[in-house]
Amino acid sequence: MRKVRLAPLLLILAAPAFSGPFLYVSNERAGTVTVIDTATEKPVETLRVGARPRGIHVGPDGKTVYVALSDTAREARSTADSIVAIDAVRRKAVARFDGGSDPEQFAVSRDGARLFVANEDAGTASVTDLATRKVIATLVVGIEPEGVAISPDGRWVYVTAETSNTVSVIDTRKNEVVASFLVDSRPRAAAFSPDGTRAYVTAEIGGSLSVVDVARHQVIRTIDLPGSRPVGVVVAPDGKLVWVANGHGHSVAVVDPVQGKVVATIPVGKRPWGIVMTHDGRKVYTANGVSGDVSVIDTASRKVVATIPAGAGAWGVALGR
Amino acid sequence: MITTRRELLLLVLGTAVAGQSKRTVRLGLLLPLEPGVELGVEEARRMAELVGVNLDVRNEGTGVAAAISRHAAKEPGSPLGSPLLIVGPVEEGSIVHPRVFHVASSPRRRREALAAAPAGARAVDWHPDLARYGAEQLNRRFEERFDLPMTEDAWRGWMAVKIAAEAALCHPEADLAQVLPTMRFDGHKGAALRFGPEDHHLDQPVYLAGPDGKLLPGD
Repeated sequence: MRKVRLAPLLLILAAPAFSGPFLYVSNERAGTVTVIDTATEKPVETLRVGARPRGIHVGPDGKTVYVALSDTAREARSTADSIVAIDAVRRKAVARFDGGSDPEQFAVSRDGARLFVANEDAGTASVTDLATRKVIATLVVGIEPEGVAISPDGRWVYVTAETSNTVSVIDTRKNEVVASFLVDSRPRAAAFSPDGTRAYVTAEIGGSLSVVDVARHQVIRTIDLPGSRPVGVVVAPDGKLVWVANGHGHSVAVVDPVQGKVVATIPVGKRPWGIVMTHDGRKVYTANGVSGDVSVIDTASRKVVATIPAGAGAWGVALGR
Repeated sequence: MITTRRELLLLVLGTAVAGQSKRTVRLGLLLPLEPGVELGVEEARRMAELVGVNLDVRNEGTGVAAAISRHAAKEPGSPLGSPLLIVGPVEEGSIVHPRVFHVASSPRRRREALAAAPAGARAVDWHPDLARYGAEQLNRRFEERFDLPMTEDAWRGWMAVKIAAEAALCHPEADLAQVLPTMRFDGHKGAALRFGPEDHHLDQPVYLAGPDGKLLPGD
């Protein structure tokens, strides 16, 4: 009799202790966001956001998930263009912000007050104030801007541009473009090292990773990634290795930026784009667009340890607290 | 080597002019006033402006272009001062001049593409209905700018200026005839485009259009 009474109590205690942090995956063709529990590596909910969700980030307090939406087929600026805020606890859309035309990638300021958004078709970057929900600055950047990254101290935002092969540097104190520099062919994404001294920019057609000295906003080295199609990029918390999603190469390249070479290539799902690392550096997640799933890499063994179903056209990944 | 009136020529001077605080890079063009070329020049100027370079573009027109091309074809050893980018293809097996490069896909590449194609199909280097690999963005940008679809000729003109500008901006001090074969270019085709070491044509994906001009499935 005593055993029968205890069993349900133990189950209730065990369940919440092992949940989260949660991973959020934007699915550009399905028009949804998949919520994955990283404790179980299983999807727990699919949120319909509509239009074409691509860029996705969690705000600094971990309470809000921001998703960039644009139209799937379009001639001009669409009414679907916006950044939607999802309450991470209730898992419901709670606000919608103007992010300028055709928003794709963006970054959240370190104080959580602003968004810096690349507007692909307009060749601009928009600065959105989250309190007033308005665009407070529209800055001219390169042609077909794509990747957006913010430095750890929040001072610099790098915006890559696919057609002009440039990175534009926004000084977030002034909301002005203060520098631009050339990188390799078709730059897609950028990421800063945790100490903020280096930034890494992927070039899809160049098949390379540019290493940038952030103090001078200058490329100091371009690392060739043989046979790769680099897109998304993330830096390990200790800053030693850079993990690059290889898009049409269907793999992840692990790059040692000091040695200037690829130290491992890990096959993942089809067309990985977004890539994120857990805060403890133990796992890497990629959103795979063609296979519509998420690959989980154990960074110690450098092997895929799980594949989690997401939605059609899985594109971006963001990790909650 | 056969040249036709439709072939566009681009003469790349790419000379860095020192002495000013803002670096100047000179681009000498021998191109018709054609929308693809126009968009290419506009974007090249913007790219240069972004990185603090004054791009001095001079378009001398097409008058002397064919003559230079014919001269280069007859005498592959002739000392052409600047590399030439020819937009159109030449016949298979033509003599390759070490300083002449072709933006069009090679005749061999087009022949291979047509080998398995349905009757009446045409191999094209570009089509206004292409959408993948950023083609949709380029097609939309062109159409919004000129209210015209981006044809194969327009793409080649745009690509020629992009190649010349990238080479001149990234290697302002170099002999561009040496640099061009080492570079990889993005033509919104999902592949790194390079000049073939033997035929000097830009190696690139080609597409098939049906007799009605419509893009055939596959891309």
